[in-house]
Amino acid sequence: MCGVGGIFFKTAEHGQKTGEIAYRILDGIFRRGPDSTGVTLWHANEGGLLYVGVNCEAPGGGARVLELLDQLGAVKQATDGDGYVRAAIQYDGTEDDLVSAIDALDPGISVGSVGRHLEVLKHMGGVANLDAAFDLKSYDGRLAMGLTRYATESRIDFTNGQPLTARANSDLSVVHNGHITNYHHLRSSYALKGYNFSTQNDSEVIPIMLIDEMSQGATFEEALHISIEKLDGCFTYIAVTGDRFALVKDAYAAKPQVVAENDDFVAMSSDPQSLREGVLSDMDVWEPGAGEVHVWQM
Amino acid sequence: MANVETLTLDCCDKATRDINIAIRRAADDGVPAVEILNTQARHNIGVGILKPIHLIYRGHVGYYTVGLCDNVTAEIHGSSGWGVGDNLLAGEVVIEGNAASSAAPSIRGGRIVVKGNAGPRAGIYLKSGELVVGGDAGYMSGFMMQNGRLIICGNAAKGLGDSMYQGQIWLGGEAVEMGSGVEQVEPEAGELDDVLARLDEVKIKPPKSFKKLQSDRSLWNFNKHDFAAWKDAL
Repeated sequence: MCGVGGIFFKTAEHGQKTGEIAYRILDGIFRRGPDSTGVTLWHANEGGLLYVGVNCEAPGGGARVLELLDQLGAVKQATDGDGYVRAAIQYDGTEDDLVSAIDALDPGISVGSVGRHLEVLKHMGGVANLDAAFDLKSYDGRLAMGLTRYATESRIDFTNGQPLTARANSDLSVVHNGHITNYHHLRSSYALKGYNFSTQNDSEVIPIMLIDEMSQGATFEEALHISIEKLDGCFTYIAVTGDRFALVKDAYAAKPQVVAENDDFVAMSSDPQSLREGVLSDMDVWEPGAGEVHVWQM
Repeated sequence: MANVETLTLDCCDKATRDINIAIRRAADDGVPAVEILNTQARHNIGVGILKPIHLIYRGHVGYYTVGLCDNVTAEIHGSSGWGVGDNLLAGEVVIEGNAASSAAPSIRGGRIVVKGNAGPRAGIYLKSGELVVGGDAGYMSGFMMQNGRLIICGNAAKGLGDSMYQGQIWLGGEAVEMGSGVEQVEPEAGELDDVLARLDEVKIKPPKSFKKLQSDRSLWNFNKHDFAAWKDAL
């Protein structure tokens, strides 16, 4: 089932705290996905940092990751969330080298995301656990889009939790509610092209597909439309990049999603009740139709 | 509308089950109407009410509002989530705003009126009764409808009436694409007048014209010589 949703503020100035709104929206869709919770945060990042999120299934893996990050660059902030490490580092190398170095530490350790603007946080269970580990509520940037996971295809752990990214291709993150039924076929074809899959989650094929289409010249929006043609199954997904984000619905409108937009913000959720609990307003919402793509510029 | 005999029920700090029990008790006690405040798009408010009562929702409602009800009338002063009026047996539900997916699913009688737009699969599995949509209807509206009447004053998305068995669809605007097994037919005498009278009754402005659509019966029976039609049907 899963629930996806979050909030985007059109300007840096806003009354309510972004993290608190995202917390309430994700809490409201906990019943759609109690297994794990994750969120993508957008940072203006004027300091030129690299945001790194690492899945650490191996016991004590967090300390090893932090030690390695210290050698690779200057660690500005880091939190070991007991299973997932978030860090912001000053790093001069390539994202590919960083991902390879961290992945080489241990089979139970893998990079979840790297980003210049996007940071991914994940934790087991509901958003309260995520907040306890990473203080989601204190986030006050412009965008927080997350997911509550109801695992169907792969293990309940940090690695297979969402949001999912194309890792070394930084600043693209996806939260997906649904099931990609031609996942194995697609995964094989992208693996043959050289793409490196790091999870067993069917949703991982979405960011890889978008990256692949854009590398062949498609714009972000074109890639989203192509994904509706190429992905089989039911899906509503939110894709976030460094400068825009999008809501995409399959051709059958099988998964719910409602959107509320005004002059200040765009908020969305799988559940209208959670959306209103999130923005603390009984504002009207709309439901995008089958096969629709909606893109917002940051 | 609200009068002195109306019970007022504030949903704040009340569990869904307690709200439904309170409505059910009011119906049992012969209270004519319940005004429901602070609905906040909550799901399953006013479900399983089997005695006559009038419900007034002040605000947006969530999923399955007025679901599994019989002889209930309701006015929703806002928009509704999925499956409004699910399996209604008799009565009437009027939604002033929009309705999300699957409005009036498998209703067996009564009438659901959506003054705004309806989402995908409006009137799915309609078994009898009527769904009136003042605006547009979403993808695959009228899917597998078995009987009854679906009136759409605006336009319809792809797959209108797909695999419908019986019943009528009246379309004021255009459908992006018709569903499988649907044909346009000439209305019989008095039918259009009846549709227009119904719109007048529910205070929805009629479109300039209506098309009457119904099943062409091509999917009623499987014919192996016509396999291509079946392959395309779904």
